[in-house]
This record gives sequence, structure tokens and C-alpha cells, in this order.
Amino acid sequence: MSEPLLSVDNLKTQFFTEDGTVRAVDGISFDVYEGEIVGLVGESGAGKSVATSSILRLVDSPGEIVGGEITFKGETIFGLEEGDDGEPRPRDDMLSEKEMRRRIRGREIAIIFQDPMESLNPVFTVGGQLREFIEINRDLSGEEAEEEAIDMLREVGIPAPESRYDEYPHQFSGGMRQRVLIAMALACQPDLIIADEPTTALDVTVEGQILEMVTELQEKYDTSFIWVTHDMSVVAEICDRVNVMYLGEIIEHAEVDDLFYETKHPYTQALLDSMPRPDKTVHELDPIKGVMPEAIDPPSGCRFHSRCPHAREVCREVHPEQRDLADEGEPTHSAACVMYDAFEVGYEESRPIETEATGGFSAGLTETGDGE
Amino acid sequence: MATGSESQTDDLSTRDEESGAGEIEARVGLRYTLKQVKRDTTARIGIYTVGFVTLVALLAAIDYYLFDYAVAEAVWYSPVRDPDQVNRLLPPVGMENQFGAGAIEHPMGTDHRGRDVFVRLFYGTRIAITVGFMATGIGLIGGTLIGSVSGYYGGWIDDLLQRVTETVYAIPFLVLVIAFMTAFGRDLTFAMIGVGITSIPVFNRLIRSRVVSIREEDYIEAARAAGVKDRNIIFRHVIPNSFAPVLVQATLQIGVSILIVAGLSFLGFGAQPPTPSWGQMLSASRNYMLPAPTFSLFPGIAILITVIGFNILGDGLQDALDPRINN
Amino acid sequence: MSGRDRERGEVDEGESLLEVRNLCKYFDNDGGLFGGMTLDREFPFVSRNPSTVRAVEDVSFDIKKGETLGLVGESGCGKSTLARTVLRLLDPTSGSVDFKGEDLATISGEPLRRKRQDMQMIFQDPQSSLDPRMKVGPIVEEPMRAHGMLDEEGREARAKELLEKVGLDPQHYNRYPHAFSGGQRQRVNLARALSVNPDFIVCDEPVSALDVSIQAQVLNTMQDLQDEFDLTYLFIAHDLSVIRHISDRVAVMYLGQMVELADKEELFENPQHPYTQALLDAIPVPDPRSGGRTNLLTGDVPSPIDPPSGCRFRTRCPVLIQPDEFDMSDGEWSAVVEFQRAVKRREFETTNRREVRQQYFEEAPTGDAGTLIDDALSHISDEEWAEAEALLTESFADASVCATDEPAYEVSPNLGDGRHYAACHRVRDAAVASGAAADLDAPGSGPVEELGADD
Repeated sequence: MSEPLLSVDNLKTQFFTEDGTVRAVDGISFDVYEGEIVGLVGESGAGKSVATSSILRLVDSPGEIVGGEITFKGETIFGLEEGDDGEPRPRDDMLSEKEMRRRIRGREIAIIFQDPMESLNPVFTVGGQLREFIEINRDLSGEEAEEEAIDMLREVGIPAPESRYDEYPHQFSGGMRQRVLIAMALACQPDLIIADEPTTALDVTVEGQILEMVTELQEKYDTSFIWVTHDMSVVAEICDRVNVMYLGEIIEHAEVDDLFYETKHPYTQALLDSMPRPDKTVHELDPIKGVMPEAIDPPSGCRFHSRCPHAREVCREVHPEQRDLADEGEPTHSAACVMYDAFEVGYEESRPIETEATGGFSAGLTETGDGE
Repeated sequence: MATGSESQTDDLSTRDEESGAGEIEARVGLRYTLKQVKRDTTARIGIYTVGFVTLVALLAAIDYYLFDYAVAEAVWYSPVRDPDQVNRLLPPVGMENQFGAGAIEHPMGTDHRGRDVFVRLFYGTRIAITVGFMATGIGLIGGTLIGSVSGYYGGWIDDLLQRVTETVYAIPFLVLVIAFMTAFGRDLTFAMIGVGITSIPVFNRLIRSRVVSIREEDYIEAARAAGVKDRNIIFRHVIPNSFAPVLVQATLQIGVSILIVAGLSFLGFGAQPPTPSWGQMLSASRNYMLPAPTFSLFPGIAILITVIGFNILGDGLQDALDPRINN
Repeated sequence: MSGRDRERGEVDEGESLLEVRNLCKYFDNDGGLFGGMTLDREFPFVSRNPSTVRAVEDVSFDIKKGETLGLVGESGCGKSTLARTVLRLLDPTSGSVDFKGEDLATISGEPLRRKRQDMQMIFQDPQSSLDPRMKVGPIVEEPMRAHGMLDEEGREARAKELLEKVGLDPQHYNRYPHAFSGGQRQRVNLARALSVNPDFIVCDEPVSALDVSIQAQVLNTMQDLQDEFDLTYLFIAHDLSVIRHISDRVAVMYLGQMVELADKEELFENPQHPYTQALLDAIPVPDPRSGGRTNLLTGDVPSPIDPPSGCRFRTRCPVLIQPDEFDMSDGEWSAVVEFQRAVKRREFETTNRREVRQQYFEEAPTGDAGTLIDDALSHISDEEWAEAEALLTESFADASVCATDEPAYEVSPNLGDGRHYAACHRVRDAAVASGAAADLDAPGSGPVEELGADD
């Protein structure tokens, strides 16, 4: 494969709060190639959104990117080097804030948010906002921008775009508003669109329409996407490759088919098992035990060990880095779990441990009812 | 007239706390607030100022009711009952004018009747604080009840209550208070009640707008669905959860009330002579502005410090209670 | 604990606990002094157009004791309004809600408040459904206190016991809600609802705000509690996977009306209403090899202020029934329907007669229909959109039986022996009974009225 469009390497973003340092994103690496949809999936608190705002360098205080490297089309969005005093400082080739604002955000990397109502200003017309965005980012005159805006609205399937151009956001349904945001994201023909749970707030029928449209547009414009979601069904439907996040780390990465059919990491497996299925009746769900620990004080060793049904002593001690577990010639399929021989840390010989999955109160004591 | 105003002051501060956080979780809500306030420098300065003024008022009240000025007389020379001292205007320590040199027993000088300004300021604090808390208390309780009932029930109850309070709001408050006092009496009690009533619409609006949004919260509906009585819903859930901005407003309103009543006293309404009140002292001093500027200066400073103290506290509380900050 | 003595009209297992008949809930869109007033540019400058949102209209169903009725629909379909109206948190506009033999729609004040002991509710948002200023203990005790159950100590003991039952640590009694995660808060909600030992719990999207893994934990707990305390659930969700997991019977709502109601397996495997079918087709399956969703609906849900006549789904229905006066092939008819909807949405990039015709009519209808289409096309090429729309709507869409009659049928189920109610005219030939759902009393709870008007 050619050079990746976006390359994230060992990215670390931390939040410095009164209670301590929250390691929201703790050393994640992934690539996005041209024309593909890469999924970033995980439960709330996994650090997905922090990861995406780090890519755009939009992390607000008290958060800060503290390490790693982000490269986009050969340019350094973020990179550190060791200064003369031994402290890390931004590298010279790192894009300035001004360049980020004028050249990257919106133009080359666009973002679509979850809540379409909050992303559109209710006091301006939909068309006006879209036109302004195009005007600023593409240096078009007002009239050209308006024409372009109407074309974009038509492109994303807004009926009668000429008349809807002058309407206000509240006159649009949720799905329509999300279409407008997609139009806005596509308007500058960016190379990469970050979609942060764009369909979570929508009904399934509308979600289906949006996903179908995105697939079509993606083929037409050959845009790459980072699709952030918690929904495995959406992942299955739209993504080419998937990164699964747990507590600030990527714990499994695979092509979408492999992820579902050759699941490696116990967390991914547990996530899939805990979902009720629409296509068949499941009598007893198999939930993941416990809740995700706080990123402020993550468990030692493998971060999932406290909830993992396969946890052994070694899991508490060894912190696994992702390793490629795919066979020779197969596409990459990496996971961070010492269960696999590739890790060679003596999982087989290690003693199973008591975890939340077997006892403890703070968690899913769904069985208590039986005892009484 | 001021009989019993000390106990009223005390009553009020406790009542403030109670209504401040509802029946059940009063302590906790307050404790939480205090913790937030402690973190905020502005609020801390406000607390110290207000605390100091309130303490002075308390001491004055104790001295007045329990010891009949004995303490003040022991410490400072008190001319209250000394007819010989009448018609002497002494400047404060370190200043001189045609009336002679300042005396150490009158650190702030004396007034036109020869009464010690410092002592009168000291006792005036009692009036100021009583007025502030009483008037605000009336406004707070009235406004909270009207506002929460109005906001919680909505419909015609809301329409009726709001139109009535709006009518009150539409009349300039000074005119209203003066008319009120002309009808019922010119003394301090009616000044407080009058000012209190005119501040009802302020609290009413504030708490109503909060209640209208709180009412839509699921926990209110949950309480309704559980079969909790409306009265309990209002007192346990609605009021405690709408109270933060009201607390801020109340603090600011205390300063405003002190200022208004001082203004009324200046006009001759409110505390009647010889009861020492700041507004009245200012009023008396206006004829001596040129020969004895300090006579008006000290009551002015006292009012300034107290009002600013409450305002700073209000601002600090606002910051401390802002949900966006202490998420 | 279920042995507590209380004077209640008890209902046996399998009998109807709740019977809802012809329930309607309309909202006045413009309340207030000047509500409904609009300013005009012409004399007399103001006009009053009060509009009514018909959030729930003519809904009837039963819930049997011990079962879970799943209620599913998209946002805005009125399912939450229905739930709140059933619980009398909202006043019904008309209709009746018989709960254990007493019509809740006719009582109010203190008698209604007392009734609430038997019916509780669980809310969607675990964040906002617990008072942030109350500790968990008092939250769980509050309903007991409201109904004068037990004394102070007894309530505390019961609250702790319930916290344990729902899978929390009784030590958490003195904690504030913010110290809990979303899933745990939803458990507190469960404990609160259970505290007064109710028969019936309405669950309004109780798991949709939770992460998938936590969802499963809470769902399992809810099922365990149902078995233990013999609870009856009305379970509202927009997620069909969750509904399929937890329900015994499922009702589907669209735009304020119930379009289909059947046993779970029957509904999922043998859906009769095109909306249910579309909904089922739209569910994403967590399987990359499933081929994605098919058969997506187009367009938006119409406004409940002025809903379509007859079947409310007809404006989006992919299988609208052809009016009797035409004799088109299915292909021709669906082209006509598609064309009519496109005109309504002004979805044209060209008004050129030939191009439009090519785009929509591979098979052009002949006869009367053909003439009408020709007229419409002439209107379009003259850019007379309103005329074209009126012509097409009047002669095709509004002439369909779907627009003239309100559908209400019962069909015989393929799976199981439950009753299957479907509000679609396409099942009229197979229907065993028709008429309003109110007449379709559950077997055993009254005489079944066989109207048989159409068959």
C-alpha cells in the first residue's frame, strides 16, 4: 500500500485535573489510507473523542497532547523533539496554529459531530451558514458560494434545496440537519472527514439513509473517513478497517470482516456477545462484567484484566503492546492480549485470577436475584 | 422601635439556611456551597467583609439588649445620655477645625449634638444588617413561594401570579415604598416590609425561570410518577435545585436593601431619631458638609464597605456556584 | 416481601392488568395569553390559528399480568406520550385506561396519587432522573414515604435490601447520584420503582443511554426482577434489538397510532405492516457479511399537527394500494407513486417533459392514469408545481383506500397462538376480524367481537 494519508503514532493526550492526571489517550497508533473508512470504536470513556480532537489539535485546557506524532499528507500536525534543556518541545516542522486553522481544519480535515442541532447556529439560515463556510474556506465569491451550497445540499439528498436554502435549522428534521453537516464537511472536498458518532442521535431508518448516502458520496469523492462510534452494527456496515479502543488504548485492530469473524481480543469478543441481536432472539445476554475503570487510575498490566473472563496473573503484570497476529500474507490483524503465543510471556503457565468478572460488588451483580 | 430586631436578625439567618436547601439536604447543600466559596478568592473577601459587619452588628445588639449600652460606655465615652455634651461637634482624632482639636475618646469625632460618631456607627450597623436581612428575607420567602408555585403549576395560576407581581414591578419602587409607609407608618419596620415587598418580583422571576426548567427534569416527573405530593415535590426537589442563583441574588439584594433603607432614612422615612442609623446620620450631616466633612464621611464609608462586601460575596457565590465551573 | 397486606384488586397471572381503549392525547400547540396568534402583513394583522398536535390517537391495547409489552417506534411517534398518558402523568384527551378494573382516566387528585403505588416508571436518562441533591437512600425511600409505607427504620432497611437486589452495594445508601455510573444510576432507578412493590412498571427507554455492555447487565437485572417480583412491564425503546430481547409481545407505533401488535416472534418473523417491515429492514446487524440494510424508507415523518388521512403511513408506504378505478401493473403504479411523491417534494433538477418522463416512467401507464400523468407533466414543464401536486395527489394518492379508510385488522398468526393486529389494508383479505383495535379484546377477557365487515 502507498503512504498513509494520516498517520498517528503513539499519541498521548492527558488531562491535568485537580484529582490527578487523566490519561485519556495513552499511546495509540493507527493509519488512515486514501479512500477508506476507518472505524474507531469503543464505549463511552474509551477516549475516542479525545483522540479525534487531538488529531485536529483541538484539545482544550486542562487537556494537552503530551506525546506522539501525527502526520497528515507528509506534514507534521503534531510532533515533539527534545529541547536543549531536555524538555520536549514542538518540532520546527510542526504546523503553526494559524496554518492549522486556515489550511487544515475544515479544508483538509473536516469533522462531523454527533449533535446536528448544536453544530448549526439556530439564528442563521441553513443555506447562509453553508455559504459562509464555503466562502471562507474556498475563496469563492458570495454568489458562487451560494450556487455551490445549493449543489451540495442537493448532493446530500435535501429535497428542493433552492427553497430549503433559506430555512432555519429548526425547520429541518434531525436527519436533514445531519445531511447539512455532511454537506458542510464535504463542501471543501477535504481529504479526510472525522465523523464523531454522527448517527447516534438518529432513528434507525434515518441512520440507514445517512449511512447509505455516506457510502455513495465516499465512493464518488474518494474521501477518507475516521468513523467514531460505539455501535458495532454501524462498524459492520460502513467501515473497512476498525480500531477498538479500551480505556485510552487501541486493543485490537483488524479489517472489519476479521474483527467480527476472527475476533482476537477478549474485550472485542465480550462487546459483541453483550449485544442483543435484532435478527434472532437471545434469551440471556452475556454482559461484560463491571464497569470501565477511570482513566485517572487505570489497572496495572492489561487494562482490561479487571473485567476479563480469561484474566490470569500475568495479565496483571504485563502490559501488552499491540502485535500483529495475522498469518503470513494476510492483512494486519493486531491485538494487545497476552493470551496469544506471539507475546511469549507465559500466559499458559500463569494462574487464573479473581477479578470483577468473578466477584466484587461494584459491578454487574445481575445474578443476585437468583440467590434470594 | 427596634425592639426585637436582634432576634429577628437571628431568625432570619437561620431561615435563610433552611429555605436555602429545603427540608432534607440543607446541611449538605450548604456545606457544598461553602466548600466552593472557600476556593474562590473573591467570595472569600466578601465573606470576611460581610462576616465582620455582621459580627459588629451582633455585638451592638447584644450590648443594647442585654447591657443597655454598658459595654460601649465602658470602652468608649458614650454621650448618649449626657445632656452636657449637646451641641458640640468634634472632629476625629488627628484632625482640627474651628470646633477644636480631635479627642482620643471620639476617634471619629462627634456629631452636631455631641454624640460620638464611632459609637453611633457601631450601633447603626445593627440597623443596617437587620434591614438588609429582613427586607431580603421577606422578598426571598415571598418570591420563592410565589415563583415556585407559579413555575411548577403553570397555566392560569402562573398567569395570575405573574401578572400581579408584574404590576408591583411596574410601579417605581421608591414611590411604592413611600406610599406604603405613608399608609402604615414611617418607622423602620414598615421600611423593611416595604422594601421587602418591592423585592418579591425580583426573586419571583428568578426562581420561576429556574423552576420552569427544573420542572422538566426527569426526577420531578419521577417523583410525580411515584405518587409524591406536590407540596413535597416543591419543597424537596424543586426549591433546593433552583436555589443557587437565588442565593446569589439574595446576597446582592441585601446590599441593595441596605442602600435603599439608608436612602429612605435620608429622606426621613425609616429609623426615627434618636435610634442611630447610617442613613439618618448622613441626613443630619448634610448641613455640616463644609465645616465637618468627616461627619458625613464615616457613615458613607460604612455604607460603602457593607454594600460592596455583599456585592463581592454575591459575585463570588455566582462564580462558585456556576455549574460550568464546578462540573 | 410480596406478601405485604394491602387492599388491592388483585389480578391473576395472564389476565389483563391494563386495558387501554381508544386513548387519545392531543396537545394544544400554543398555550398562553396570546397563544396561537400570528402576525400578518395584511389587515387585520393578527390571526389566531390554534393548532393541535395529535400525539397519540385512538390507541388500544391490553397488557397481561406478568408479561412485557414492548413498544417501539421512531422518535416523535408518541410512544413516550402514550406511556405518560397511561400512567396519568398527562391527562388523556379521550379514551379509557383500565388498571386493575379502575379507569385511571376518570380519577384524579388523592385517589390517583394512591394508585401510583401500584404503577411506577423508569426513565431514559439516568443522569437527570435522580435528584442530584438527594442521597441514594432517600431517593429509594421517597415513594415509600409518599405512600406511608413502613416507618423510618423499616424504610431504610428495605431501601438497603433493594439496593442489593438491583446489584448495588447497600453501603452506597449514603452516596450521591453523581458518584455512580450511568448503569448504576439506572439500578437506583429500578430500586426506587420497586420500593413500593408495584405491579406494573413503565420503562421509558431505560437502557438507550447506556453503553452496550452495561445495557446487557441492566436488561438481565430487569428480567430477573420481573421473575422475582412478578412485575408487568411496558417497555419502550427505539432499539428493536433490545425490544426483541426483553418483550413477550411487541407493539409498533407510527405517528401517534399503533400500526401493529403481535407476539414477539410473530412480529419479528412475520411482520404484516409495511412500516414494521421497513423498521425491521432498517435495523443494523452487527455482522459485516449481512449485506447491510435494504429497502430503506424515504422522506420524513409527516407532522402530527396535520397527519395524513386514513393510514398515516401511506405518504411513505412503499406498497400503497392502487385505487380501484385504475388498472395499472404494479410497476406502473409504483412509478406513479414515486412520481407523485417527487413532485410533492419538488425533487426535480429539470422540468423538461421528456427527461422527467424518462426518469420516472420506464413503463408509462396508459388510459385514464396516462392522461393524468400527461397533464401533470405539462404543469411541471410550466413550473406550475402546486397544480401538478394537487392533480396527482387528488387523483392517485388520496383516491387509494389507504387514504379513505382507517385500517384496523386482525390476522391469524403464523407463529404461536397470540393475536396479531395489523393496521394495514393489504391484510384485509387475510383478516379474521376488522374494526378498531378496541374491539379486539384479548381472548378470555371478554367476548370477541367478530365484525367481519370486509371479509
